[in-house]
Amino acid sequence: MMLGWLHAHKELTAVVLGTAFGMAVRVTMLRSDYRQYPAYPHGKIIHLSLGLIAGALGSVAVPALYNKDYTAITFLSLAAQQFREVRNMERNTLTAIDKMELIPRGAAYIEGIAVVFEGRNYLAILTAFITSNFVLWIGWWVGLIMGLVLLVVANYFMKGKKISHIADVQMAPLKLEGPNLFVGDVYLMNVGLDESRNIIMQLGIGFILTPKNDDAKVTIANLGQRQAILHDVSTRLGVYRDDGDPSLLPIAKLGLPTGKLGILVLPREKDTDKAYQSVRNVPLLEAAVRMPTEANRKSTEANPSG
Amino acid sequence: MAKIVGVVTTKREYVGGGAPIIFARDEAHLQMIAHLLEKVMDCSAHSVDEELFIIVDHK
Repeated sequence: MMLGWLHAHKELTAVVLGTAFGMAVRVTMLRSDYRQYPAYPHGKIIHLSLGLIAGALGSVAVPALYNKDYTAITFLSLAAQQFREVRNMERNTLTAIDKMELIPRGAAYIEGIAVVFEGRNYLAILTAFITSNFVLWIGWWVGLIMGLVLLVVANYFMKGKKISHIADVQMAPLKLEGPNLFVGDVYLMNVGLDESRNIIMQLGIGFILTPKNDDAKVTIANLGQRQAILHDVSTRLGVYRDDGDPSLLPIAKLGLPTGKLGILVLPREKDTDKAYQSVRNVPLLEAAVRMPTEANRKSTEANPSG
Repeated sequence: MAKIVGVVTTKREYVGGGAPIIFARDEAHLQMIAHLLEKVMDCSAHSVDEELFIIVDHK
């Protein structure tokens, strides 16, 4: 009886299933984790509503196209326009908040977050579109299966890589030579005050990031990526720092001869295991990832020397 | 670019020139003045050597 009804009202089923799965994709990708964003209820409501709208737009387009109403596709471009606005909104909010952070996220990290927010909405549209398509094409049960498959696929694609994929993270001792602070053999900074030196030696944790290949060297040298590491560790473990204490500064410096990255963090809570894990789990920023080896290989293939 | 906003030293003959110069009695006094300047100016104190500090605005 129920199944018969679903067959009889194919278009309605397509729209409802499509919207539901589009929304479901957005819900599963809405993270409230240590980054605390968007953890506040209002942020969540904004993104859930947009997810619903994305799902609805994606699924409604399909029955329209089946009825040879081809202008329906312009609907989707309208949606794209809307979601570019989402990216702007995220960027503006985060940039405004960033000025008030003890350890700012940095422009590259903010841009990365904003892009992800936009991308998630497109995935919601795509899921809704394909689900709705299969319902109309074959039947509601195929739509259901495709929806579930896409749910898994979308989450898989949005995972992204982490620092641990491109670099070996090692804890390294901090040492002072006069006023000069080193982590391992990487020079960090000159600390003038005895008081600051004591605090850094007591509370600081040092890490050395060794890039796994030449591409990784370029990526961890990126200033935005370094700032993201400092911000994430400071968010997870707190930071021993205040406005007006410029010498207590978590810092990341490159050992130029080796390409290794030396990092000093000053956590509120000196838990080396957690600090180690949080450095490893920092997301790789899209803006920082470079593939120079691939680019060079291609260019030599195109122009043989001699 | 960073800017030197002050110089603190215990040796008068070490220094001269444009930035404000403060003379300290001894090394403990020098640490104290550098500490004060760091907090007040929100600038970092860097040690050139034990007897000469520069206060640098990195912003």
